[in-house]
Amino acid sequence: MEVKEFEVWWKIPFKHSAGLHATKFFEGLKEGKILGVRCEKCGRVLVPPRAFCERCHTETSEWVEVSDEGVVKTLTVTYMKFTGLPDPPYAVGVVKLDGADTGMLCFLGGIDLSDWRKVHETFKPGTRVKAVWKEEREGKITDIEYFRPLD
Amino acid sequence: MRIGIVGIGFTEFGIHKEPFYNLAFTAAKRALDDAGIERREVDSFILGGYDNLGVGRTISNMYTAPAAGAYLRHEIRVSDDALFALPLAYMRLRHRSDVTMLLAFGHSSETPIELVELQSLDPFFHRPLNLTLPAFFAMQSYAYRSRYDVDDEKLAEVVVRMREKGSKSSLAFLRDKVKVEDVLNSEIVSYPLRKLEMAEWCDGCVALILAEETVAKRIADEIVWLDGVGWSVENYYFDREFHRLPFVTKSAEMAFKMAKKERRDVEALEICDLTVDYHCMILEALGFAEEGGGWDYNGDVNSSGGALCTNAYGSTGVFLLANLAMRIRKGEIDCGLAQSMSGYAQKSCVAILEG
Repeated sequence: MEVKEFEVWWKIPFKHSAGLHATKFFEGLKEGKILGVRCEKCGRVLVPPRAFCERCHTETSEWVEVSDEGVVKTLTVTYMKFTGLPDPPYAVGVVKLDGADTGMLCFLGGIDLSDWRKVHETFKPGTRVKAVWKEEREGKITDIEYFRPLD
Repeated sequence: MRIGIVGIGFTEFGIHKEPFYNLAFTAAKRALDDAGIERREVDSFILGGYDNLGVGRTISNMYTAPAAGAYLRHEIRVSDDALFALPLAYMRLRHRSDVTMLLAFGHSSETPIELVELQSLDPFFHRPLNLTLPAFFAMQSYAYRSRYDVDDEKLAEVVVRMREKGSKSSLAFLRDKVKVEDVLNSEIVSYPLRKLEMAEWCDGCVALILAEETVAKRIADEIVWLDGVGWSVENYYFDREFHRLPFVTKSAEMAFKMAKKERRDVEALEICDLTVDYHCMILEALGFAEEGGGWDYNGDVNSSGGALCTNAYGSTGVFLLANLAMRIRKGEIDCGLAQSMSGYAQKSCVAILEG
């Protein structure tokens, strides 16, 4: 006997509180600024900002504006199609912005992503990049469309 | 007081039509049979597996607890890779449990795990950027290969060796051998990771019967002792170095200290190589290979084929542990180490077993 299968989809609304720190960060993005917080104990600038430094377990309070340029720490380009996710290719990477001490996840772009060999010629750990901002910003991480390679 | 494994029960690992709780029942019954005891002799049940939408029920132990035999009994669960339930089982046995069942469940075939696991990320910074598990794993691979200039062919040879081992294991999910060119020509999933360089999802359950020393000696003649266990967690945000796994090192240090053992005492390893790069990085983090040289390790590692051959997401860690325990029981080795990772490679658990 063929075992019966039931196809089920989940669609559940959530209203997530971003908290004060992320809210201030997203308000900054609207103005084209990237904000971090400095840990008073270890002195590191954390981006994206959070209410406490995980390493020191102390509150953070000093706000710091960092550059929208930085260096790629690592990256990947996705070529496989996954259910519910955008059509490939798309590239993400971790970028350490100038003035920050931690990496931030971002899209990478501004080049043809269809051939990974060519991507690798441009983007690799150590590549300097700059943010490409959306013209109409709404206070979300995707206000930064992607980071492009700096010439 | 020592804690020993006295019963082991596996289901077949593959893509199952039967639901996860029926597989859990099968594993539990086989473990009880293996130990030669009745359900009523088990006084504590610890369940491990991902308690997310992977099986489409967010509190999945509601189904697996009765399947394990915990009907109106003492039961608690760990929502993680099931090896992380081992410390809890150990602690339970140290505090008034005589016999504990650890049931590991993993069932990946009913939904796209990539989409499910994406929901485990924060909805502000990471989830909107589609950071799937393969994409995260690939970012670590990129950093690792770039840092140490590791040749793709050398990594492909590791896959070939692991698949060769998997082909000899009746418990493994992937049992077909592959060649270096098969690996290098397989589809790029998320650059630089190719399909054959990554673990493939499957379904399967494992149950262990553990007992405190006096009871264990009454139940079984061939006992596998749990000498040490350790675990550690990395930061969520990206202030880490991507080419190494310090939380794996920490988890191993804790386990070795508890076991009062050195690396030279360990004859065999079972490690959670969700990718070929993790295979190397874990060996390095555990202290069995030099940084950047994990691909060249020629010791006894993953005779089961490892996660690269069997990855029932949720039960993988206990699958590896149980394979190691079986070898100790057969007298092939005296002492071994099993390791597992969970989620976005943020946590590690290590166990040291001895005959």
